[in-house]
Amino acid sequence: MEPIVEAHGLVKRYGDVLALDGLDLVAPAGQVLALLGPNGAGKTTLVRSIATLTRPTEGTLRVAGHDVRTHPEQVRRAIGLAGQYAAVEPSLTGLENLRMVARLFGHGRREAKAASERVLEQMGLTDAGRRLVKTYSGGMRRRLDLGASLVGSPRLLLLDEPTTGLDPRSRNELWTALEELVEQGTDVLLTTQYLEEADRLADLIAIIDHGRLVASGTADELKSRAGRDVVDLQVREADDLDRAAGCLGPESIVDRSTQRITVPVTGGADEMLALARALSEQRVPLADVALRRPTLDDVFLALTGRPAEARPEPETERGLAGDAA
Amino acid sequence: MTTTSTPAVRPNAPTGRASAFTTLSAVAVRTALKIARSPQILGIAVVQSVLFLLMFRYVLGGAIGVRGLSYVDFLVPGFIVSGLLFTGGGGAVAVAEEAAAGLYDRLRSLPVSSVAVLAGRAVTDAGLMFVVGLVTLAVGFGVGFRTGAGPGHWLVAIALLVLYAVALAGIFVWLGLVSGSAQAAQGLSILAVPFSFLSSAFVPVETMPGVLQAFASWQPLTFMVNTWRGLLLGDRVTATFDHPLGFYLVGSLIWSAVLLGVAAPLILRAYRSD
Repeated sequence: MEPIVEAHGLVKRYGDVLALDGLDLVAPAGQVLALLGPNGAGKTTLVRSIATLTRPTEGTLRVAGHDVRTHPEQVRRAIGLAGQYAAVEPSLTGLENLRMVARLFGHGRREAKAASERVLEQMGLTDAGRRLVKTYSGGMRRRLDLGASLVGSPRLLLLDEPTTGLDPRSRNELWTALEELVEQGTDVLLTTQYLEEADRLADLIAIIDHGRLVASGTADELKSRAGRDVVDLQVREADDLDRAAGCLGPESIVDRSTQRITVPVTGGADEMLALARALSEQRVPLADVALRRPTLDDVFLALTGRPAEARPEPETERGLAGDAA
Repeated sequence: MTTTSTPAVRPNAPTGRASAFTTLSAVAVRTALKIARSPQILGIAVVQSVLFLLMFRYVLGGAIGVRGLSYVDFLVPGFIVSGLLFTGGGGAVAVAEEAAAGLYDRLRSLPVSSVAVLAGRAVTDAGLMFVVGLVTLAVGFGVGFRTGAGPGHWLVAIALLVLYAVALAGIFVWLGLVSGSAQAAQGLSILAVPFSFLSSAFVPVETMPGVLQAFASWQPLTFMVNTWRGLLLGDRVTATFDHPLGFYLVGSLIWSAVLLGVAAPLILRAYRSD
């Protein structure tokens, strides 16, 4: 099958800033692809280019087989876009919001109503459909926004940080809704800073940094590419962190907030015990020691040299810029 | 999660594409519903307009003499037309807010005409400007405005007010798109002050010093104000004009066309910028 997104040597320059720097990416149809990367890596620029909102400076980009530069209209007929801001109008009802978008997608009056009702049900918003959106919770708004990109039944759904700023429960609800969509055969391309989100939703993960593709593959492939297991050590006293890290070698990574040090190892349990013994000889009391498979966090760190920036934090009231209007 | 063999089920796949008219009316209805459900939008615009009318009428009016006319008769037509600028500022702020909320990103990702989307917005803003103008006009009658204009003149005057509102609404949509934030849009809307004061709206331009008078005589608002004033007050005011009423009427039509002609490509560029 033809790839749903195909980018070759994609460059986007904003003045002196290179947001995309020769990016190559192929997203096969029938898959969920997660773009993972730190802030400013170029994820949003790529999504905006795919959505025909931003014109690439150089390179080629085909979406559902259409060149974004020469056939933006065909691309728009194939995609649905939902962003981190809920672009739904608070003083309209959920149904009214969806019907307007459905009409713009090309539905007739009656079809628009039917499609909107179907989407409301799909998003679990049937009961709230006739209420004004200003009475919705942050998570409900985000689901309605997602629904608005679905009333036209796009082949490719583009989600730019769909759960940024949502509390864990709303995040879970949105994930469940997305999983159902995927089962029904919608291709999804999403950007995220949450490794957990990529791990849970995506078939394929593309790691982007400095406007280039750094690595891509399934979560398992990426984890095994990072190769080595990881030893997690937690010290009892924060003051011991630097001394312990010095003793554990240059590859150790310190997380001060949790008083943890992680060290990649090749020697399995023996090496873990050796490390623990070394610290004990230095009189560093340990709270916890564990050997584990690498997580996407470790992969990310190994490939980009930085930890993934954002941590899921409940911030229920963010991303509701639509409130103001 | 991979679906390789099952063909995608697309129960919501649209059968056609939205015409320019459907697009325009969908955006216009959305904007109108939003205004109708937020009484404060219309309320604040009306209160602001009426408040300023009363202050000009009763506070400043006594000190301003106009040849051959009572000040309230001179003021009201000028106030209604220049009031379009003050109400229009609210439209710029709303456009900036919608842009920040990501509405225009979504609309641009849809297979619809950009011109129709923007026209839908501008038409609704113009409608609000027009309605506020009518309410203020009613208050104007309440505080002593009198006109001997016949139905023909009224009809032309009302039609022209709609046209002026549309022409000016385009500028405010543009300001909203380029401002980048609601606060900035609010700030840019202050442009209404110099444009309305440096016109024939509140005082005769003859009373202004040289350079200001030249600007005031030729800027669009003066043509619109003089046309409205001439249509509603007839000989009482056209006798004091430097040019016949037709000159101002044609001039206001040309200015409206120029404003729309200049605004349209600017708006499209701002709307489509990355």
